[in-house]
Amino acid sequence: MSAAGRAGNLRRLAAAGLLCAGSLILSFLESLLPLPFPLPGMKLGLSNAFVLLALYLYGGGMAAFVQLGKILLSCLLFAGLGALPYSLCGGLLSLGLMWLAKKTPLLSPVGVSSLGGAAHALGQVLLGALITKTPLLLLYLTLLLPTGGLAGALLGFLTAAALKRLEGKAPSP
Amino acid sequence: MKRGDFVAFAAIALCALLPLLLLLGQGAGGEAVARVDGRVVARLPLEKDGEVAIQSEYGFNLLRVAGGKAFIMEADCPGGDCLREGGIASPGRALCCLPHHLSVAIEGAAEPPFDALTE
Repeated sequence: MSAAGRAGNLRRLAAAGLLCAGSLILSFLESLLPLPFPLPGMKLGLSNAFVLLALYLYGGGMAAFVQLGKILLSCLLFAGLGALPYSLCGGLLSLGLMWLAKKTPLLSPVGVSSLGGAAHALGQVLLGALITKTPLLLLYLTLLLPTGGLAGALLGFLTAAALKRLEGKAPSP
Repeated sequence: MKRGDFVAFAAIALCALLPLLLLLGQGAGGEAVARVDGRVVARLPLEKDGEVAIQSEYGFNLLRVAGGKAFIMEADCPGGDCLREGGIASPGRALCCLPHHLSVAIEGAAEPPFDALTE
């Protein structure tokens, strides 16, 4: 491999570590906040900001790495293994939908992130309803989908602002 | 923000309403199935109030559904135990009139939270 190629790989590696760490930190901070959410499992999904950044700066592969890394590490470090299947289910659905959504020029990061937030909630509730065999749990979606979408939209707005300021300054892949 | 974002918002809002439409439409469901000697003689859905007279070679029982529960309202059996059972609605429960070889069980409803009941 050329020197430039190796340097590029190193940059990607550094970026991957940075983005994953950022996602993990936000996830941890969020777990500390005693926010009065009516339902367990309801959260802001702040860590998604870094997954979104990864998606827009480096593409789907990097976003997948950040998302999976964050899920695994957060569960091992503070969230607990019990959260793992739900985080995975919600996180992967969210990732997939965001990756697809980004492909259309009709959506900005706000819409992409909003869909990601809603998909995350959907994945978790679906898994919960499946595991406990209570379809009635799906009624939670009436509250969780819009709040997830709203949180995602706000996050997308912030991330879009960050992306604008990063133009030309982020280490190129 | 782009125009597509609003479409995304609308789609999310729509999906949020789906569970309401799908799940609130169903009742707990189920029907009371009456059997004499194991042979089905009557079925009454629990959602609608109704009555069915069961006349067999053993005797007469009147099965009624009211308020989502099934009762045996009349019977000409010697003991009349079946009349005192009260209403049943969950799949685990059953009424029976032994002298008339009659049993009334609830079938087809959503799974109840308990595996068995004793009283």
